[in-house]
Amino acid sequence: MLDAFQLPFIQRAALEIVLLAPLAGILGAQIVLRHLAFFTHGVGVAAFPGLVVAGPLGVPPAVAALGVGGGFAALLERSHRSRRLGADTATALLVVFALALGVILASDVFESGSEVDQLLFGSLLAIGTAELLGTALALTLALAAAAFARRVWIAIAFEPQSGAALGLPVVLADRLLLLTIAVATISALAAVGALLVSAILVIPAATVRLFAPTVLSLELGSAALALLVGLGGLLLSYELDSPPGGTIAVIGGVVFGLALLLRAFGPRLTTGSHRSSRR
Amino acid sequence: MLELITDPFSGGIAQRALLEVVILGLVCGPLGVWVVLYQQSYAAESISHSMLPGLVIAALVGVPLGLGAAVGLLVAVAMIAAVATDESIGADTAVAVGVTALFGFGSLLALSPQTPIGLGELLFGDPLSVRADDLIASGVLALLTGAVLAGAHRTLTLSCFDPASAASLGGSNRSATWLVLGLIAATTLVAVQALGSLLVVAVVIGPAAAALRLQSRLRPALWTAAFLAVTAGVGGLYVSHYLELAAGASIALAAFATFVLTLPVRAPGRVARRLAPR
Amino acid sequence: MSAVTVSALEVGYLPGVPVLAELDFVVPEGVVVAVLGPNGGGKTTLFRGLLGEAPHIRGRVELEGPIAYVPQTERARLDFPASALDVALMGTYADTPWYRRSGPRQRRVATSALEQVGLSDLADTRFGLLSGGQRQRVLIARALSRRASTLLLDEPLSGVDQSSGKRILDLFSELAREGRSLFVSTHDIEQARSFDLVLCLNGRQIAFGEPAAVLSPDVIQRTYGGELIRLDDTAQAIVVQHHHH
Repeated sequence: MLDAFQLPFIQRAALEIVLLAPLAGILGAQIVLRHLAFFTHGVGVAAFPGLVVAGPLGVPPAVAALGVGGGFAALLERSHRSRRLGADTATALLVVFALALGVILASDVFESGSEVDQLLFGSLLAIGTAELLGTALALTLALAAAAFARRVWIAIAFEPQSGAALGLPVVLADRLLLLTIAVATISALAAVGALLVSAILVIPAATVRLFAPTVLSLELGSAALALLVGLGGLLLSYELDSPPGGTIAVIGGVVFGLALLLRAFGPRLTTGSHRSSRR
Repeated sequence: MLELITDPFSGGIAQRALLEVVILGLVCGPLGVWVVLYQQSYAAESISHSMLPGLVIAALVGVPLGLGAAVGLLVAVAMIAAVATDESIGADTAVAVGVTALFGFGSLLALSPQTPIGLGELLFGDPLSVRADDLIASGVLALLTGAVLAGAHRTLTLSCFDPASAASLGGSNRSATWLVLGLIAATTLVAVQALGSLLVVAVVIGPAAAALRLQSRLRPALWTAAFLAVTAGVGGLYVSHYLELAAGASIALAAFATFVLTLPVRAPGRVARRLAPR
Repeated sequence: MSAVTVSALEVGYLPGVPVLAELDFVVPEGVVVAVLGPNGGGKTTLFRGLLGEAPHIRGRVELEGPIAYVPQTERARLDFPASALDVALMGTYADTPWYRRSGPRQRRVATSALEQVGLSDLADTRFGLLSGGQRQRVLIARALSRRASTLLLDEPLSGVDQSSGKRILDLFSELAREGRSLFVSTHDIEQARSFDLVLCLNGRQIAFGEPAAVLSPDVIQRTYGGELIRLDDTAQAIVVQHHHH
């Protein structure tokens, strides 16, 4: 079964997953702790108009997607800060705008349609050097951002109100986090597609969150689980001739379900599951 | 002059489209107010993707696609509601896990041998493709949703305003969550033909977010949202007709515009926004 | 007549693991009971047990008339589109069948409840725009339109300015005079001395009775344990670490 790793396209796909796994650890932990799952999903879907205009304008798709995704992240960051609208509502409104724009651009302006499939499903088995470089860059950015801001992220996740009072650069750290997630999401688009980005960035962290007693264990565990599920899904999809993105998502979902059952009915040795006495 | 108004709706296809967007607006607007208040926009945006495995299986087995889609949605609602009860996970992560896994499953089924159905139409929809039986389905949905929203008005209010006291005042937090998710699923199922799975959420969220900026009490907000959603639907059809743009996307943009137009409005008073404790 | 009778009650979420045990007390009509205890000591669990929302492992609760819970104001959604009157009306929901609209009768109940807490002139004001003390009174009005004879108030005086606090305390006395009994959870031991009865909890019932008899340094020590920072021996100055919400 491991013979598959002799094949160059499997090697590249595996390398992509190896690069994405630390992102799933560093960023996945924050996504789950800060309730940014919808934001993550939204950035991926909102990149659609970028992909549509990339071809006709002669821009590399990843760059166009990054431009749109970055703009999306910046707008959302502003609306979060103004607090005039629920974060989820703001995200939904912007996603809708981007999608509608993309549909009109695709169907009425440029008359192209192939981007849709690419956007939604990605193609892990067609990863090229450019995509790998993009993911490596995203990882570098995430590592640098975490080195600078990780402690602030954790402080905000613990208690959003008092971060600024503690003298922490809350606003800067928040912007950095959203930007980093946007870049990581766009870099994962090529591999698993917009609708399945969560399979790498959210599901492993959500699974580990059920058990992890500390942020560090959450980060390490999420990265390890993402690596396992990613490589496992890759191999299985090769054996079954199924799409790798979907396979990874299904395995991730099943592992999460098992973890949930284990925590509900298994031995009570977990620390993340104190039953709150306040509610 | 009058022709400018009546011209787009001279044909039967366009008349059906008009009736469809009016009905959907009446449903989606008030439902959207609850979706926004319950902070379930992510579920509203994403739950449509969970129809995919049901659709594919229905196509392979040979049962009506609508049945398959309904089953897929039902599974998603159950998964989200079950996972979201765990406080350490939260509603948004529950949606991400449930919908992603289901969509992944659907893409496995759909893409591995050969794709049995055109995904594109489903994703983006077209109000001009609405048939008479779609209209009947929408009408039934509208009546049903209206009845449920009216009957459950109090429990929805209690659980949303203050979940800690809801039970002692005759409400039920669990059934409120199920109701909101269930209504989102039912609306998605019916609206997907006209608006497409990716754009249904526009008509649900846009007018509702606008109405909540304009009104400071619940009942007026519900009616305003219905009015704005219908306006966006009809307006979108005009835009689509005269600018020759995709109809579903035009309606989505019009719904988004209803919200943008309320941005300068300061009424009903600036409220220091505090989201519900998670 | 006794409003609340609790005998040998244990409350908990898992079989055999009580969060709160040894509850045994009788509260007559028309009194204000201070509920003291450290964070996680069981104040909220007691309320949920009395409301029947937390499982009783053993023992029993007897209630004379309806019981209502009054949460801390910041637990309610300030962005919810509702006026003060709308919130007071929510208290009538339980007694109105789902198929019947709220009519003039319900409005009268809610209006008179708002009147009783002294807020009838703000009936049409949006709940989220009221001050903390006013919101607390609206939530009490909601419990009154529930026609509750027993009210459970979760730290009603925290985060409320002094003059509003005084109004709320006066309201407590008025409600007690009408024959209602009130359970008021608080962190303020000095304030508890001015109430009719005191119930001290720390995983179990530590003490129950009149403040003068109950609030000895020893009981306070056993109630708060490690959370207590005593500034001097007279027990006049006691700091209990507050938790944030």
